[in-house]
Amino acid sequence: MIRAALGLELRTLVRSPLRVLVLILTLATGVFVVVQGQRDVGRWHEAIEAARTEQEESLSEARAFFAADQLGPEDRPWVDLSKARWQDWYAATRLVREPASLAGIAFASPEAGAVAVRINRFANPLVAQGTRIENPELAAAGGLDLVTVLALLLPLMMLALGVEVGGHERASGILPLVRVQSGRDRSWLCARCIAVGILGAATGLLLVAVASIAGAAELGESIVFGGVVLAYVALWTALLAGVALVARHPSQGAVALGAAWITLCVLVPAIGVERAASLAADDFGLDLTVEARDAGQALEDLEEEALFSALLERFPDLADQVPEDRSTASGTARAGLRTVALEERTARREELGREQTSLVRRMSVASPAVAFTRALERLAGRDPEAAREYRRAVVAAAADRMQGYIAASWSSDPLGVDDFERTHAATPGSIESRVSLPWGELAILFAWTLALAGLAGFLSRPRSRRATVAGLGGALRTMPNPRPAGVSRSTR
Amino acid sequence: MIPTLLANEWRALLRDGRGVMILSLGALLAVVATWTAASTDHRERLGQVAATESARTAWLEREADNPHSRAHYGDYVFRPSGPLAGLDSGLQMVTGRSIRLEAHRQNAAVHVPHREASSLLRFDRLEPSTVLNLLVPLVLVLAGFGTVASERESGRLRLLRIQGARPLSLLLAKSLALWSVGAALAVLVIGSHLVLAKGAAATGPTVAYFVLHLVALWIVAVLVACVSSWARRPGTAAGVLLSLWVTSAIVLPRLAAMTADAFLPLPGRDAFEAAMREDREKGLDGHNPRDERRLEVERQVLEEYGVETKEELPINLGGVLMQADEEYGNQVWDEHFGDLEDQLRSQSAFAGAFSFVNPLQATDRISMAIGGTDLNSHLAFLQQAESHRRSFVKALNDEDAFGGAKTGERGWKADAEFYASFESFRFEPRSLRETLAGQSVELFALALWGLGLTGLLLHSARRLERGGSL
Repeated sequence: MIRAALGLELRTLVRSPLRVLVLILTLATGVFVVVQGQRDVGRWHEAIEAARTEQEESLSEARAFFAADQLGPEDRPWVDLSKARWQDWYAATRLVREPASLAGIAFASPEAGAVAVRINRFANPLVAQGTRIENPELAAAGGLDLVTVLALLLPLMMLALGVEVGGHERASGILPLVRVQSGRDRSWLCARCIAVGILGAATGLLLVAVASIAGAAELGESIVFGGVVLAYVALWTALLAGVALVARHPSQGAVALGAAWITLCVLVPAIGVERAASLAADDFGLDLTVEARDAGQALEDLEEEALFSALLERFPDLADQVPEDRSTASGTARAGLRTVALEERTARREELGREQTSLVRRMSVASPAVAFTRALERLAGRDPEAAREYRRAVVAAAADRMQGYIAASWSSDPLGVDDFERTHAATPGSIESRVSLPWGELAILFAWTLALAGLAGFLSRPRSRRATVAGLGGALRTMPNPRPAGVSRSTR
Repeated sequence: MIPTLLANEWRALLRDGRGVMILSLGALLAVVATWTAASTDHRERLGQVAATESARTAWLEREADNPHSRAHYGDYVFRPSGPLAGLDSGLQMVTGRSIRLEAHRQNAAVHVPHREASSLLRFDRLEPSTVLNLLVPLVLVLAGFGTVASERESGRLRLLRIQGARPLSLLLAKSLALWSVGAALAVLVIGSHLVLAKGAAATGPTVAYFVLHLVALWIVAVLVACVSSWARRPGTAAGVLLSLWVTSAIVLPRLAAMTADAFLPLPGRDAFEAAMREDREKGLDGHNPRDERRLEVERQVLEEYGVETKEELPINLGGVLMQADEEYGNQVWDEHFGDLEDQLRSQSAFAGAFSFVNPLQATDRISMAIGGTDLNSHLAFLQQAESHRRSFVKALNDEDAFGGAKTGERGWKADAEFYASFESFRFEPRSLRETLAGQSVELFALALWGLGLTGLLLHSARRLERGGSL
C-alpha cells in the first residue's frame, strides 16, 4: 500500500507546479545555506591561520634573538628574554578551537566566543571575542542556516505536500471507495502520510549528504546527522497522519497543521526565549568587569602571608620553590592569584550558563523544534557546552602557563632558549570542538513521535470502528452515488 | 450598511466557538507576554542602575590617584534599556551590555548572557511586539480566512447581494471587523503595558507604537479579506494566508539577514583589529611611525615653552604625549569604526529593502526604532560611550600634564575631589523625530502597502461584483 501511496504522491507532486516549486525552494535554500556555512567555516579557518601566523612570527622573533645571543630588540632595551615575563610574552602560543566537520550546518548560531586565544599570564577567555563581527540586526533575525532550514522549512514542506491527505478523501467522498476496495481506510491515509514522509526524508537526507560532503564529515557523524533528521521527519509524519485521520475537510487539515507547526516551532520556543531573557535580566556581568578589576586591585593590599598561602593552596607544587625573600616574589604571586580568580569566575559563569542550558533542555521536551535544533548544534560542535569546554581548556592552559611562569620567575637562574621552547611546547596548540551525540534529543523526538502516533490512533479508533461497519454497509448500499450523505456523516 | 455588517461580523465571531477560542487565546497571549516582558524589562532597568552605581562607587573609592593609572583603571558603562524596551526589546538580546572605557583603546560592547541559551535565540521572544507583529496577524488569519469564502461556499454571499449589500461595503465591513479584533488586542497589549509601567512609559513613542500597529493590522486585515474574497473555498484561503504568514513572519526576515550578510560581508574580527593595530603603529598614511610622531610633539612642546630639555618644562610632558597619542588613535578608530558602522548600516539598509515585499518586516523595524532598541539606537549608544571615553581620557591626560606634575614624576597623584568631579555616563536616547526620520524607507514601504492593499480592496470588490474567485 505504501508503494501505491508513494506512486500517487509522486504523481501528484509532478502534476502540481506549486508543490514542485515548494520542493525546489526547500532544496535550493538548503544547498545555498550549506554553501554559506562552508564560507563561515572558511572564515573560522582563516582566523585560526591568522592566529598561528602571529604565533610563528613571535616565536621566530624570539628564536632569532637567541640565535644572535641578544636579550631582545635593540630599540627596546627593557626586553630581556632571560626573564620569565618576556619568555611568557614571546612564547605566544595560541590555543585554537578547531571547527567540527559539520560546523557549517549551524553557522547562524549566536557566536559563543573566541576560537583562538593567546595563552600567556594575561589570557582571559571570558572577555575574548569571537572571530566574526556580528551585525546585531542580522543576528536578531534568527539566521538562516541548515539547522533552521531543516527545523522549520522541512516540516513546512511536508505539511504543504500532505495538507490535503485525509481531508480531501473525506470531503470528496473517496474514502468510502477506498474502504470498499481495500477495507482499510486508515491504512491508506497512513500510507499516504508515510509517502509524504518519505519525500520529506529524501529531501532531508539529500541536504544531509550535501552538508556532509561539503564538510568532509566522517561516516559515523553523517549517519547520526541523518538519523536525527529521520527522527524529526518521522515526528512530523506522525503529526500529519494524526491530522489526516481526523480532518473532515482540507481546510480543517490546513488550519490544524498550521496551528500545530506554529505552536511547536514558534509559540513554545518563544516562551523559552522569554524565560531565557528573564533569567539573564539583571546580569550585567559585574563579576567580569567592575568586580574582577577591583579584585585585582585588592590583591595589592593582601598581606604577604595570606598571599602566599592562597597561592600555594592552588599551586602546591610551587611550595618548595618559594624564594627566601618573599618580598621579591610577591608580584608574581599576585599574578598567580589573578589566574586563580579567573578560574573562580569561569566556574561561576559556568554555573549561570548551566541554568540557561537546563532551560534549553526543558524547552526541548516541550518543543521538538528546539530539541532538533539543539541536537544539530551539538552535532555541529556549536552549542554553548562546546564553547564552555573551550573556555575551560583556555583557563587550564593559562593556569599551567602561570605555574611555569611563577616557577621560572622565582628561580634565580637566567632562562635560555630551551626554557623558551619548553614554555611554548607545554601549552596545547589546539582542541577539537566538542561534538556530542544527541541521544537525549533523539529520545525526545522518538517519544514525541510515539505520543503523536498514539494520539492519532486514539482519536481515530472509535470513529473508525463505527465507520468501518456503518460505512461499508452504507457504501455498498449507495455505490452508484459517489458521495452518500449517510456515509460521509459516519466517517466524521 | 457598513455598521450593520460590522456588528454582524462581530456577532458571528462571538457566536462561533472557534472564534471565541482564537480571540481568548490571543488575549491571553497578549496579557501574559506584556506582563512577563514588563517584569523582565523592570529587572533589566534595576540591574543596569545597580551596575552603574557599582562602577561609580568603585571609581570614587579609589580616591587620590595618578591620572594615567586612573585612565588604565578605566570605567565601565552599561547599556540602558530603550524607552519602550518593555514593548519591543529589539536587539537587546544580542548586543553586548557593558563597555570598558580606558586609555589607548576603543573597546566593543561585550557580555551577552543570553548566548548560553543559543539554541533558543533562533526563535522569537514572546513579548508584546511579537504578539502584535506576528501573533495578532495570525489571529486575524485564523479568524478571517473564511470571512468571504465561507459566505460564498454556503451561499450566504448571494443572499447578502440580493438583500442589497454592495461588495465594497461588504469587504470594508469585513476588513474593519478583522481590524477591530486586532485593534482590540493592540489596546489590550498597550493598556496592560501602561498599567504595568506605572506611568513610566514615554507618551510620544507609545502613541507612535500604537498607531504603527493599527496601520500594520489594517494592512493584514485587508489582505485577509481580499484573499478570502478571491478564494473559492475557505481551505484555499487558509492555505494561501498561512503560507503568506509563514513567509513573512519566519522565512523572509531570515532570508533578508542571510542575503545581506552574503552580499555585504563584514570583515573578520582579526582582520579588522590587525588593520587598526597597523594604522595605530605605522600611522594613517603608512609613513608616520609612532616614535616620529612622539618626537615631533616633544619638539613642539619644548618650542612652545621656550626650553631646551624636558626636565626644564613646567609641565608633565608625559601627559601631553599621552593625549597626542590618544588624538591620533581617535583618528584611527574613527576611520576603522566609521567604516564598520557604514557597513553595518549598509547591511541594515539591504535588509530594510525587504520591507517592500514584507510589511511585517517594515513594522518590526519601525517598532524596534520607536522602542529605542534598533541598530541605530545601539550605534548611538556606542558613539556616546566613545565620546564619553574621549572626554574622560582627555580630562585625565590634561590633569596629568598640567595638574602640577613635572616630567618623569610618576608618583604624582591628583586628589579625590578631582576624580569625584567626573560625571557618570548618561545615554541620551534619540528623539522620536530622529528615530522616525531614520526609518523613512520602512515608513514609505508601509505606506505603499497600505495604499496598495486599499487599491486591492477596491479591485476585489469589483471582482466580487462580477462573481470571480480563485
